Amino acid sequence: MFSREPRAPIEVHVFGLPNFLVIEAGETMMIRENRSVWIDSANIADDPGPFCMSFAFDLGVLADSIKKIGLLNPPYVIGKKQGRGFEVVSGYRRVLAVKALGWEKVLCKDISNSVTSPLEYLVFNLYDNLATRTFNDVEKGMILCRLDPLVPRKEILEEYMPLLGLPSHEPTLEVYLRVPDLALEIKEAFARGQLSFQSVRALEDMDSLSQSQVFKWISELKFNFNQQRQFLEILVDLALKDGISVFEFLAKEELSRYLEDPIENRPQTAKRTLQALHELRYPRLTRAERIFREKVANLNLPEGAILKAPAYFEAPGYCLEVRFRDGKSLKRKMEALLNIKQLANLDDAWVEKE
Amino acid sequence: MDIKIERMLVQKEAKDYPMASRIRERGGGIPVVFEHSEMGSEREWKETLPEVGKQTLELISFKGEFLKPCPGTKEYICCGYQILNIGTNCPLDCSYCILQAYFIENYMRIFVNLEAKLNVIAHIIDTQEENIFRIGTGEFTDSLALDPLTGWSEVLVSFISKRKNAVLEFKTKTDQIRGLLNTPTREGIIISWSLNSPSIAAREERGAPSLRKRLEAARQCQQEGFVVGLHFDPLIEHPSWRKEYVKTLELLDKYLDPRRIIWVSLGSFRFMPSLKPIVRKRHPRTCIFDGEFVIGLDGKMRYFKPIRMEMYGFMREKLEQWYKDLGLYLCMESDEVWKKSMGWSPGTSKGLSEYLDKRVLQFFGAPGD
Repeated sequence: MFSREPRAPIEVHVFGLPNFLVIEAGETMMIRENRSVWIDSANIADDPGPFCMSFAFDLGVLADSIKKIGLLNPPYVIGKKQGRGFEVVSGYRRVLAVKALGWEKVLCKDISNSVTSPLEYLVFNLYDNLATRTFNDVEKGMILCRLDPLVPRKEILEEYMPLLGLPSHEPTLEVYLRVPDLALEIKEAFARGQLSFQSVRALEDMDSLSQSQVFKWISELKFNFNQQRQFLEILVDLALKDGISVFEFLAKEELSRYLEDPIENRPQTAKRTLQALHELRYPRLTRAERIFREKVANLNLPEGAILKAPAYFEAPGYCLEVRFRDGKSLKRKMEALLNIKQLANLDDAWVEKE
Repeated sequence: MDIKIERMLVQKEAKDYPMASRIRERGGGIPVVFEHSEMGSEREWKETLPEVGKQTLELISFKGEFLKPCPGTKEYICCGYQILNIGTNCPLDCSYCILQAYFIENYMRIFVNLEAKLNVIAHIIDTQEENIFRIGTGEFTDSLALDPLTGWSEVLVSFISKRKNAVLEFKTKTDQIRGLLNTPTREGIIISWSLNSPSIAAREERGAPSLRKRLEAARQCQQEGFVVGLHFDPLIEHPSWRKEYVKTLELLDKYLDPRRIIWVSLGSFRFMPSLKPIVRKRHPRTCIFDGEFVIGLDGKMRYFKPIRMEMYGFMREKLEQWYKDLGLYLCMESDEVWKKSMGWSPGTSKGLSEYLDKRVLQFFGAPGD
């Protein structure tokens, strides 16, 4: 059985068998009984079960290692409560690797009689993994999801989230708790770092059709995190304004043509798509930007002179930047500027002249 | 308007103040579910009450400053208002309410030591006789929504009437005017209503009385000799907004005497970026984010400038058709927007303060008159 021994010495076995497991400072969870048994690999579950937390990993390296030097650390298993066979508590990847190598039997540690609660199995695996690797975001979601019914929220926020490198922030926890429900392709992209946390949060608020359509756009146009943020923010605003789903919005011909019939390369298509969305979301601002560009172009400013508008035209006035080589060239440019008659007509950018 | 308060939390240090006793007495059957110490406060009662909401009222002894100038920002022209802190949050649930982002929890708090601190506030006002204090209680709560419980009007009307250089504005969306009507004086008191278009009022101002009810209350106050103010803030761009706002202006003509209106403020919807996800979650059907918002000079999101100017210009034109001298002003706008939409500008925050002070003098006379 596990027992909690306050202030017991901390002992961590990185390469050997972990008979002691550090749970929290000054407290050690100890396995009193861990029977080594040979188990038919076919009798060990293929799925991660309720305790393991591995997602989107490369089995190749581990399988190669086991093939060369054997299985150094036996997986920890327990007998299934219902039905025959064994559930993996720790060492899920090793089990998959030896199965891939075709091993018929695996030497495991059976801790069926050592531990009583699902929480202790879960914590066992969590700490075992924490000592050797970092978790990807989907795995963090899996861990938090499994802890959620077993541990008070306050404890998850204050103890487990920092342990996983996450802020003790309830809205962040809510996002991670919903990660396991996402479609496999979305989870894989999140685990690989191709989707930002903000994007995942936005996707979670959508119906499944919209999720998959948005993911298709993001992955096909290879939006970076900043582009993902813009894409999703504008998309959600526009769909809500129209009272339709994001899926329906993306199906509109004016947008879908960018994905279905790209005439440019991928980065250009991505840029054009965002520009099109920007125009739909901010029609008056876009028009003002266009009018301003046209007005400036019609001025025929001397080379090296740039007329800039403040961000979103919010601050009053404009800024003129003149690049020059020496005093003479500055003088020439200043004279050229003074001779531009249309400068006197430069007014609000958004005012379209007849 | 029904105030639905299901429970009260009382800070131990607050329970002996007269306002606390009054609230408990007037609250009748509202159970006090937790008494907590000042230090323990939220952490202490949250252990037993994880879910609190707008139906929860907490009575506390406020340790901060009761009278503070409106923070404003240097980038836009501010009216130089003084905020009297009497509590936080209110029973209404307007989708655009900035307080949703200011306070993590949406339960209401009443600062029951207000009466005990009035001498401090009096000292501040009385020692600056050269200044006119335009004070308001409607910044962090509705000034009147909880008045039947708190008796704010009784306490504050009597206090302000003794000051020569101060006016107090009760800003509300409610029709809770009984307390005010029962007070003996009208001197230095302004009762203001926050108004919007009928569709915005119905869709986005959950729990607030209809525009008609608000204006009926305003009419009654005018008839009883009170000076009234109006605030079209936030103006929201929504389908047929011109027609919609005209409907409200037509109601004004029906209910109010424009000569007894001290000022009408106009302010377009603006918000801290952090408000948006909160509102999207709490009010999923809202239309308040449909317009074109850009980042303003103060970091808040605002309508693209020409849109703001168009809305202000339209409102100004229609309001001035009703009555020329309404004391129109813009809340937190730039000199440029003032000039292009209002036809003039106070230039600076000081200029706007002077303009509004003049309105005070026009309606209440010079100190000592």
